[in-house]
Amino acid sequence: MSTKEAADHLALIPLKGRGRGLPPLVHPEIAPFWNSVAAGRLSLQRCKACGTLRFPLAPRCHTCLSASYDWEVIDPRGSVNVAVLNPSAPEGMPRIGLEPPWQDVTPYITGAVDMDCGIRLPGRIICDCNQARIPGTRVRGVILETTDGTPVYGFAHTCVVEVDAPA
Amino acid sequence: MAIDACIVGIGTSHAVGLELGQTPLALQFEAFTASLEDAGLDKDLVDGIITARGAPSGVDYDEFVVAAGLNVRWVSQMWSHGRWTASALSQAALAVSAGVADYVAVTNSHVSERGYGRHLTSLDNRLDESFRDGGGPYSGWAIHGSPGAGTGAALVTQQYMDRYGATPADLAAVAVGHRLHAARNPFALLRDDPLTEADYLASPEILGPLRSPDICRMIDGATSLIVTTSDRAAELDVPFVRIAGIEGIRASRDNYVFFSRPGLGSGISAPSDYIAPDTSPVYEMAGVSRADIDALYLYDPFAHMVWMVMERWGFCKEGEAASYVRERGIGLDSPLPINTNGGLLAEGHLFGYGHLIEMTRQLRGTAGDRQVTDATVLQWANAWGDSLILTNQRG
Repeated sequence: MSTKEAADHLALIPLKGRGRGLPPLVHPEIAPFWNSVAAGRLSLQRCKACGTLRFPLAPRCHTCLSASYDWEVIDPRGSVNVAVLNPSAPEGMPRIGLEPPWQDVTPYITGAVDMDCGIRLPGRIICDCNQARIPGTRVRGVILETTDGTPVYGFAHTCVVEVDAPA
Repeated sequence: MAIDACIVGIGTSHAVGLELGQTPLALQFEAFTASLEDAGLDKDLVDGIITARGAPSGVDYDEFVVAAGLNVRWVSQMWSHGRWTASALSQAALAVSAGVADYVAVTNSHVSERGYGRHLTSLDNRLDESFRDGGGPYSGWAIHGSPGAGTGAALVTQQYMDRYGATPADLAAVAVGHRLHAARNPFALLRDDPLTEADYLASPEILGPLRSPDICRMIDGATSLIVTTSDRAAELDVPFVRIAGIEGIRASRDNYVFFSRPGLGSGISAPSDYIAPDTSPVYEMAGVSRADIDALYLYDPFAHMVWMVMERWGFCKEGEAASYVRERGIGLDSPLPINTNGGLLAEGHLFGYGHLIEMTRQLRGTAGDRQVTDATVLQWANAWGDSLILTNQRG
């Protein structure tokens, strides 16, 4: 495999016109995660002391409590753990239903993906055929739009992007 | 230290709803004074208070102490969430048992954004838990379109249905059962709003597999319970109701998602088989077994929580609660009546304190049409491991 292909298979594929969700709150400690997404890669923290790859993002390792870590690019592919369809904006349910801007994005699928690196990540799942609502379905990381333009990662089914081949 | 604590006073706001037209402080006064009257207690004897900030605005302990002219020597304050209901009553029990306070008021008030809260400043939602850097404890994450509680509950419900094949009709039985209880509760928000399985199945899915009847609404309301020792309780003219057992919230990387029992693989946790323990500390402390429980009470902002609790605490094996509830119901004629007040789903969202008041009424034998026959041992239990056992039997 050439260097270019090896790099490409790690790429998050940008998707347009799939709704503008809420942007992340980016602050210095977690900026490397979002800068990586903006650069087309998913990166997680790996502990330099004991080697544990971790999520959620955290200043220390949950295994050994070391504060020393590297950001590591992970494979953007995985299998759906759970997915739900939010078909429309429920009325009269502040705090429980969908807050802005999500009402305007419906219908959409959101859930969690068991990444091939062994970490589970939450995210929207773009799928036009509903197959991705079934646990175990293969998906790939993508970049989605938000209301202020900050890119956020999500996932997409093979009906939208090529999942298991280089981008 | 042994627990020596009784519930001697209960009270609520005069009603629950969105059009009460009263501030959180006014509602809390209603509940507090009702609980004092119920106990036959002078306010000057109250020397401990546990409260919580409501959503979007509640009453801080000091605000209430000043407004009510109290003089307390022990305080605890949480934030309003059903997670803390058992912990709040447990703290009151521990406080009176240790003698750091004699009479503790567990008093809470809250108003909804659609109720009196529309007159008040809303919280900045960016402070909501679902904006944590690593996502919120509901297993949702606001930036991924799963903001707040609703989608988090939908994800867990979906995981359960995917894994065990539970059906919409199974889920319907939970909401239908709660409405049947509410019809017998004059205080309940949905007492005049009956629901059949057909009604349920005709309503659309709105958040994942959840339909409107599966989701409780935030409302305005207040509750108060007075806790003291058994010796002091004996000096009051109230039926005997004792806090016999307490157990705390469990939390770990594999055991923390609000709306899930362990084993489902919710949030970041790995899925696993789940086998409930034969017994638990709350039963040991109370000197009872699971088989002694006459009725079960649990935090039910979303319908699937009934499944989570029944399985976590071993009333059913994993994956069996859905069909159990559909076949046997949660009514007074069920082997295990559940949430006889109508729960959050149908009585209204009183953060679980409405359930504790109902448990007290049941143990006093004053629950009217919804009285559980010979109720002597009742359990509050949650999916995340906290529990209380109340009884009218002396230790």
